[in-house]
Amino acid sequence: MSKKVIIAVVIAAIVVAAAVIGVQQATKASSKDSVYAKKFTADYPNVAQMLNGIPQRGQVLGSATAPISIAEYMDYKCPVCGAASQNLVPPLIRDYVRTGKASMELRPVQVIPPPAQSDNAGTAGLATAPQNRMWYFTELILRNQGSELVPWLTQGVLNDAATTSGVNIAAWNQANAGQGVVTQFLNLANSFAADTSGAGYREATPTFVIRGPKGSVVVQGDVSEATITQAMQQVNGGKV
Amino acid sequence: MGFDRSASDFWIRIAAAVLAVIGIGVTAYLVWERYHGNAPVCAVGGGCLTVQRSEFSTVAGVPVAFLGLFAYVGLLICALVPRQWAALAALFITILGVMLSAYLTYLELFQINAICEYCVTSAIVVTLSLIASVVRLSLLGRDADAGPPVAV
Repeated sequence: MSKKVIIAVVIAAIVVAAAVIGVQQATKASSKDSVYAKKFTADYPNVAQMLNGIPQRGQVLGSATAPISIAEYMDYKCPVCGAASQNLVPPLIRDYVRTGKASMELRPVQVIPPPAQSDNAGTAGLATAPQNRMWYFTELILRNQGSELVPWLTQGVLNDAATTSGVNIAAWNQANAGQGVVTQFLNLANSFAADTSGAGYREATPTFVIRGPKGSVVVQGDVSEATITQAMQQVNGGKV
Repeated sequence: MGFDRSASDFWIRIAAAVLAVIGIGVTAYLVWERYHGNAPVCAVGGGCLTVQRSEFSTVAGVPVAFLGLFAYVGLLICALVPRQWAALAALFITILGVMLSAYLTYLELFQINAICEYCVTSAIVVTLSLIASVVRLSLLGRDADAGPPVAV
């Protein structure tokens, strides 16, 4: 075999390797600009540890046969929702969802007044649901929120959250551009109004609607796991 | 003892095929876990997820593990084809693989500060594959140097 051919192959391989490294460096530099991309990447192992192994079906996390369901109305920019994601949701998932006693459902709504970007985030979140990545996407954003007074929740941040969550971006973009998620978002706003129409309630987030065989209970605001547990007992004949 | 070059070529290709299958297994596992959003099972060190979720884990949006899988499938094909072009293609892929593995190992050690055992395994496999492809080419070179049989 000609030595010239072998040398040409070696040089070609080196050139291609250099090109790949160059492209990698260039794409890395663009993602490095995003503070949120770094935050999401750093926090993903914690979110994955919390959620992995639990079935996800669209907006719902947990067993389809769980006797109790907890629907959480949340706004992606609401700081109390962020705090709940840090302090309340993890123990609820650990104690009740992972054990099959309850399922949880995410219901994004907009309560922070425009231009708060909550509506864009809400439809973007719903667009991850068909891929069963909504809980990863949502928890990453809620746990790493910026100030509700600052327009930090840009399309770039949503893209970063989707990428880190393992969302198929092409399919997500397609779902996000469709009318389906807008209709879903509007329907959630209507059910939010209906669920909080009782005396003493208001359209505030987070709102937890706990349903079971014995009825339903609405819990709002900065609540503890004990409060949710009490509500679960109430809708399930005293036991959880 | 005589030296049977065709037998040696056969066994070196078998070795290359085995290495390619190992590489396919490792990279396919990483691709699978990535697309399912799971953390790879990392028995030593625990840095697999850190590496997989790092900003260095993709090239122009394509996961590095997927590129590796593609390369190992190419190496398997090259190992199964007893042709000169296949030996040259294997040399090309393995040089590329060794260089990129060295770069990724540097990133793991000095940029990401985490070691992924699957990446290390792949780096070892691709290095052994490079050795196999060089040996295979040298055997082909000896055959060419020997020239056609001469009537006496």
